[in-house]
Amino acid sequence: MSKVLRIGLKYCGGCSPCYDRVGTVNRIKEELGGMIEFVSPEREEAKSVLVISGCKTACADISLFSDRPIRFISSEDDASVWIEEMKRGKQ
Amino acid sequence: MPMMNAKQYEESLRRLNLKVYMFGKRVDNVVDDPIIRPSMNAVAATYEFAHYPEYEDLMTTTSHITGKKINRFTSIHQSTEDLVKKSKMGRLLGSLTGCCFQRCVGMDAMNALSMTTYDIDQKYGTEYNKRFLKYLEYVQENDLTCDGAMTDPKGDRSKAPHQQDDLDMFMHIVEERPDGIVVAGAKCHQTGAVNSHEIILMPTISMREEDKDFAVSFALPSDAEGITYIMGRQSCDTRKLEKGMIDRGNQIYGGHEALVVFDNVFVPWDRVFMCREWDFAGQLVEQFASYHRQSYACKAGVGDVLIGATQIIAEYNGANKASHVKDKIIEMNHLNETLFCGSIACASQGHKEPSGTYLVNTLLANVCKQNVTRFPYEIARLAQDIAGGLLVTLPSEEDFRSPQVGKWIEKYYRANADVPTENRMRILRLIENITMGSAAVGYLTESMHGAGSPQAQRIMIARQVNMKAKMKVARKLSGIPEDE
Ligand SMILES: Cc1cc2nc3c(=O)[nH]c(=O)nc-3n(C[C@H](O)[C@H](O)[C@H](O)COP(=O)(O)OP(=O)(O)OC[C@H]3O[C@@H](n4cnc5c(N)ncnc54)[C@H](O)[C@@H]3O)c2cc1C
Ligand code: SF4
Repeated sequence: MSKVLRIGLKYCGGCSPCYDRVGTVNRIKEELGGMIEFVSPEREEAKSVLVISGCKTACADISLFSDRPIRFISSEDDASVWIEEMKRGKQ
Repeated sequence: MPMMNAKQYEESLRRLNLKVYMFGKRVDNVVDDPIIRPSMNAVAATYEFAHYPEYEDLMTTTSHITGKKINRFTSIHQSTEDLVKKSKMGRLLGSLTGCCFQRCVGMDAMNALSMTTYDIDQKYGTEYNKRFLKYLEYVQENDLTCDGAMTDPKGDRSKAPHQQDDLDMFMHIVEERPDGIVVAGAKCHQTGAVNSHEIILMPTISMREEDKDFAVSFALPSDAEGITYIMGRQSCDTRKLEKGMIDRGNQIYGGHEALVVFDNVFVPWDRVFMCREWDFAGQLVEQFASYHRQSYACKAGVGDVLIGATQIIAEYNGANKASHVKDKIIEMNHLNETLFCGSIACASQGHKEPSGTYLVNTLLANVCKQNVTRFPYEIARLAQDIAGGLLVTLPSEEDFRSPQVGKWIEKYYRANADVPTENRMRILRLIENITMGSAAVGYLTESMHGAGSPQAQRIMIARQVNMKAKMKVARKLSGIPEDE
């Protein structure tokens, strides 16, 4: 069985999001269950970070983990693309 | 405790011994009082959401004093990004609570004091800034809610403070002692006063030398000896004492204001931030007002709730497909986003003051607030238009539950067959709550007068626009010589 990938999860503050950010994360968890585990982005074990932005402004503070690969999700479609990439083994 | 949650906040309030009066009686248990409780819930939300991963990026920041993670409401803005996040936090919280969450006034007072105390020290060699920063650290370390208290009763508006028949119409120093000062007066319309751990006082207007005893700023624990709170009434307030919940409109949250009386109250020196420096009273007022005019991004958040409710009632009524209804909802959104634009614009165009604190662009902050004095009224008017007359003629929840007449309400007030009548009642009550019930205090009249009545912004706008430059270019383009 392949190892579970630990990914840091960071949300923007969500002032006026264009989609349901938490709902989207729940969808990601459902679709990629067993493959990935979200952890605090501040934890060392998070080798990469997924930033869930409510809109394309993507204003979340990423300074604490800017040395790691970051993937920005700004819409449901972005999330779908990322889920497919993960399923195909692209990270 | 650098960041409390809602429960810890509520417990911290229980430890206060506030002298609160409402309906002519002393309130023994402020936290559990059914009329006050929804406002406590709204402040508690500012604590709780700071711990939610999906909100913490706006709700928290890093202390510039200790480097620790703190609730943004206790922070001093260190960049324009901080200012922008403050605007966004206001919108977020307005959109989650549908009401005034009360905690921004204290944040604005602290930010203004971080600059004015520094500037007074530069001119007079005083130590106000050092005192203030020590106080700020205490607020941050304990994650306190502070009431920002500026508005004096003001008595006869045509007279200066020292000319008033009753000097208590403006907060003033009545005695100076080796260990501190004694003050007397009152502060009106104090938002969230009885949900606060601290009260921070500032002068209400610019002063002249004759008014120097009125040029005073300080902070006190909210339960300091000699302070009395008299709760302001809100329309529909006693609905919170009724058995059912529907008629409240907002089931969870609310706001409050109070008259706060200072009957010869002692303030130790380490909590005094201005003492007779009359020439800085105007600056403190202007800086506080500018921040607070920015803070009204919260109204766009409440607008989000009202627009959502209006769309729902349009759908429940079966009117949502009508082109004029669609257009009115577009107009509501247009006005609401314009409100947000002003707050974001003045934040992003902010600048660093000598103290290091970032201040909003004051012209744009005044423009933002001027819009706030108007647009929520128009948004509310459109909501009432779409809601229909039932908004104000709907029978009570008790009638709805009544075995005798409930069936008639159920029958005659059902519109869309798929929607239970109760849901239609609930959404109408929410619209009523925001546009004319207890939340209209925050959404409408506070939009008008809070952070200064409309004329105050117009004066600032007139003072700050560069009229000469506008005229110069008009002359040039029309071919009028410079000297004419
Ligand atoms: C819901 C709500 C919440 C508030 N929260 C706070 C708070 O938390 N902290 C705080 O400190 N304050 C708070 N305020 C107070 C707010 O800042 C004041 O209401 C505002 O400054 C206007 O003062 P006033 O209410 O005394 O009205 P007035 O000063 O009596 O103004 C009424 C009208 O008279 C005009 N006017 C007044 N004086 C003059 C004059 N000298 N010359 C010409 N015209 C004049 C005004 O332009 C206005 O049109 C709150 C107000 C409201 C309504
Ligand atoms: S990314 Fe967009 S929705 Fe999220 S806080 Fe920033 S501006 Fe608001």
